[in-house]
Amino acid sequence: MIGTKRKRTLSKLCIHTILIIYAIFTLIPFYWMAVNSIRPSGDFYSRMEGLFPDNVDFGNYISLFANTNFLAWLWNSIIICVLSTLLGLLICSMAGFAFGVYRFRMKSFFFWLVLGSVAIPEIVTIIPVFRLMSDIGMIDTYSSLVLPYAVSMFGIFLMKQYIESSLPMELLEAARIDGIGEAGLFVRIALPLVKPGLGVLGIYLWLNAWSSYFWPLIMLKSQTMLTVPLGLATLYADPWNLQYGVLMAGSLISTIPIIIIFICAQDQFINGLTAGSVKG
Amino acid sequence: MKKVLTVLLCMMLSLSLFAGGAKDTAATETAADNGKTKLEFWTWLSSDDAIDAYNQMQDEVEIVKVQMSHADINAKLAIALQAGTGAPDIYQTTQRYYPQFRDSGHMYDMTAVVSDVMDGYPSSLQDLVTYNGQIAGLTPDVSPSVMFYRADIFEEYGIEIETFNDLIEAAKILKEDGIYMLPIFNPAGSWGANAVGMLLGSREGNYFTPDGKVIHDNEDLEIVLEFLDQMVDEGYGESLTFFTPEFWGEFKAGKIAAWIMNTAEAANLKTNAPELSGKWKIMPTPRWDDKDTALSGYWGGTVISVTDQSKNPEEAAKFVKWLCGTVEGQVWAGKTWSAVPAYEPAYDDPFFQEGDPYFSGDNIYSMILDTTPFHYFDWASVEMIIGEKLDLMFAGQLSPEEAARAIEDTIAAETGR
Amino acid sequence: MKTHIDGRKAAPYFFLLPFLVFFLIFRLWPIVWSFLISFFELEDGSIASFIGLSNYATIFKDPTFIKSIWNTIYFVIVYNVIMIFLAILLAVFCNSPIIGCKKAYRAVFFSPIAMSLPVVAVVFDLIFARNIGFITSLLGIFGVEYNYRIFASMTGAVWAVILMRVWRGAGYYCAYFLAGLTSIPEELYESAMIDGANSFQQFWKITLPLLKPMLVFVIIMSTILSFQLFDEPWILTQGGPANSTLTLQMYLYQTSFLKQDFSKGAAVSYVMTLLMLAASVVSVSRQKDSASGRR
Repeated sequence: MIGTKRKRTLSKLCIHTILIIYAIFTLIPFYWMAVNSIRPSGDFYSRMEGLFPDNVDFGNYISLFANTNFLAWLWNSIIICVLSTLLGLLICSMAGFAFGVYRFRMKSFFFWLVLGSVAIPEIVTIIPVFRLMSDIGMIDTYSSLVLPYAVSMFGIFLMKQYIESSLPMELLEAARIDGIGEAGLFVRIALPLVKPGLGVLGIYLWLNAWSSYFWPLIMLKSQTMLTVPLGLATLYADPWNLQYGVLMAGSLISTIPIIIIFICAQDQFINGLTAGSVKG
Repeated sequence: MKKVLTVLLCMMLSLSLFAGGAKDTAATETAADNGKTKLEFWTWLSSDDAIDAYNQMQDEVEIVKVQMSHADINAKLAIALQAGTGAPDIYQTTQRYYPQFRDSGHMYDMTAVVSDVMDGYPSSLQDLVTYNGQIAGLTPDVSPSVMFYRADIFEEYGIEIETFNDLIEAAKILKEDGIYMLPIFNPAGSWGANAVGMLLGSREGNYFTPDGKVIHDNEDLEIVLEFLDQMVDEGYGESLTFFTPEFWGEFKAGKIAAWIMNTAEAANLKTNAPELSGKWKIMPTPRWDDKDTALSGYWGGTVISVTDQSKNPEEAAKFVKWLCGTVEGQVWAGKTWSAVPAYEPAYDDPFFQEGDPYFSGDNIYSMILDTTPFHYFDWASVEMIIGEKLDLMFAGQLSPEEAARAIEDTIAAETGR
Repeated sequence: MKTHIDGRKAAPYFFLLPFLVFFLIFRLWPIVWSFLISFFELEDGSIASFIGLSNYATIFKDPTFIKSIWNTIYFVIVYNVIMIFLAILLAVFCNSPIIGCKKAYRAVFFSPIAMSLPVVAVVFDLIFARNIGFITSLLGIFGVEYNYRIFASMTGAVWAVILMRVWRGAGYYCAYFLAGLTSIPEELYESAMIDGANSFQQFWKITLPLLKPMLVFVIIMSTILSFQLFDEPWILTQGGPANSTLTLQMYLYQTSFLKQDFSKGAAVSYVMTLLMLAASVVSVSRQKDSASGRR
């Protein structure tokens, strides 16, 4: 008995060690980012003895808020992410519901269309979409980003799997007998059941919109409309005025919203994925 | 019920999007609404002070700077010109990339506005901005080479440099103490390709003939490559990637004794290694031993141009003329991004005759020698080819001679020139 | 809203409608447009003359293009193998019933995905930099001099890019695998334990087979996303040394935007699309096999 207990403690220790080593590996870039964000700009290219800066200075943070539009960038990013996530959730869950519940003509054709278009690089589609956007006057608006982000092929794939695995057909039939219309089935029965799936998809869509660089670069142009990645890029756009310290400060702050969202949503996220994976 | 509300919310939000109602939520406009026409100016430089000065001196227009990296400007502009919409009023690009935009035929013809200042530019720059007999842009700056050097190190080791061979001889001594004579861009990338171009220019060489034919069996190119290869192979020069933190770190750590580079980098040395103030000096580019006179090589410089999509092209051209073709504008360019004036009358201004305490009182403008015209064609392809062959040479897979031939042949094959 | 009988037939199309509208505008028509222009010479953004397959012929004759294909495939395979192996391993350990603090580990592992790609590149540049980098400072404590320039070596640069991607991806996909693991019933392990299977055997016999559907999903997603590798090599190496880190997406970017040859760029992207399609079709059909095999 004592043997098994000791063995258990030992393996517990082993697992913790491995996980902690990987956690440290994960955190090193964050640490280095933080360290470089609190060094005075004159020290930036100096060698550091040891792993902690000799001089600490919060000038980069001050200059981030005082000299750049950082708050506007953050606001733009958040608006774009919220809108495209909500719209994407709606579109993907509707399409997923259609694929998961109904049999209809050309179903597999449509589905392969979805899968096929996953593989098209973004760059190909940008010129025609750019033209279209400018024809309807949407260049430099939130819509020019929110709308294209909202269709996620992965999202539809995921929601289809989800609805197939977590929505019993009998339940739908019973509801139909009760006189609930098809739209009602979706809103009142399907959506509550696939709530965890929406959590997963939400995080995926959010990350997608949050980290996108090329699309907003082409669609946006006023300095006040920039998203966080674009705004941060202006800090190292000018080789004669590289503001690495400010960049580090800005990126560190901009990772916080995503980490908070994950911490809040992580149970949902993990449980959400579970249900979807049952059938794979 | 909560779900229903969520869905309703989704729908409302998406509806409001379609109605285009999202835009007014953008952050406050930085410029005050003073009835001036706004003109968009794409640049990667932090030239705010010059722009502000122009905005304050006239009541017609307000120049609004949009800052992006140089590569981003190229990509965005390429799409806008293709799509026929979305281009800015004014943009800045490098002289090496400018021909692609100029030859698109989408530049505003500013001849009527600027023809009276054209005499102020060297003829090579006049040619660069001329397309079909029209003036399609102006050059705010030029970027000839000088040699920055650590006066304290040179003095300590008794180094005096006149020719490129002197550099190699001095490097042998410095190497023993762990000091590198020059930084070398290795892996080369586009910076390395441009550095080769600059060194080529300092010996009157070129990749292309003036009418755009590749020069084959280019002896100048071979000599330049041999020099670079020797610097890397013998450890006389330090292999570095330009514009990385590591690069400036090595300067700051005092490991590099000299740098043959374009004048604009003076500003970067000052910002990135402030504590070396007074230790640096500047001298003209050394002479190649087989040549009688020393010349400055040509790194690049920029062009500012007005697109044909601008709604107020004439006003836009006036701004370009002020910045590039008046002494006042050129002084502002010098103050904000350390531009070396392209407009020659500007050199008479006292601003360009001052010495710089960082460089022990040396005046950088007086260290610029004559330059010979450098010809850029299909530069986007050319610089990639050169960069790749240089890397192969530094890695020991090609001899300098083979690399020179490979560069010529590949450029000829790919561009058909 | 609708009557049952008609409604039921029309319903799938009603639910697909928003997707189809968006799909037509933002996917299908751009795709068709750019497919067409890959066969035409462009002038000022409009089709000028038919050139047939000449764009495709040109790119396949270009050794740089071929090199970028191999670089990309090499990267996709090596990165995905390492990343997925690590992600599964982390998920298994993280899921172990005998340890605590799971949520903290999960949150830490997930955090790299929050850093945008260009910033990842800059931060790793600061880590690897000689003299001023993290590694120099760390080794400096032990009196060791660090002099390796990882981005200057042809193999080093590739591995540095792989390392950056693994760092960013492993924790994110670990969350997917964790989800897959929590759906495996505990009883299976208990009965295996009674049969005397050790942890390693349990992993091979129970965990891995039951994780397969999730594994396939992750493989498809991560393969397609990693095919489009761009930011890190673009910022750190520009594809060098000697094109050793040139990826297909970079080649595409250079062709379309630096050389401004959109028609050739479209051809490049169709080759890229075919490669990605092939990869995902293979995975999807394998997934179908495994699903039907289980029933």
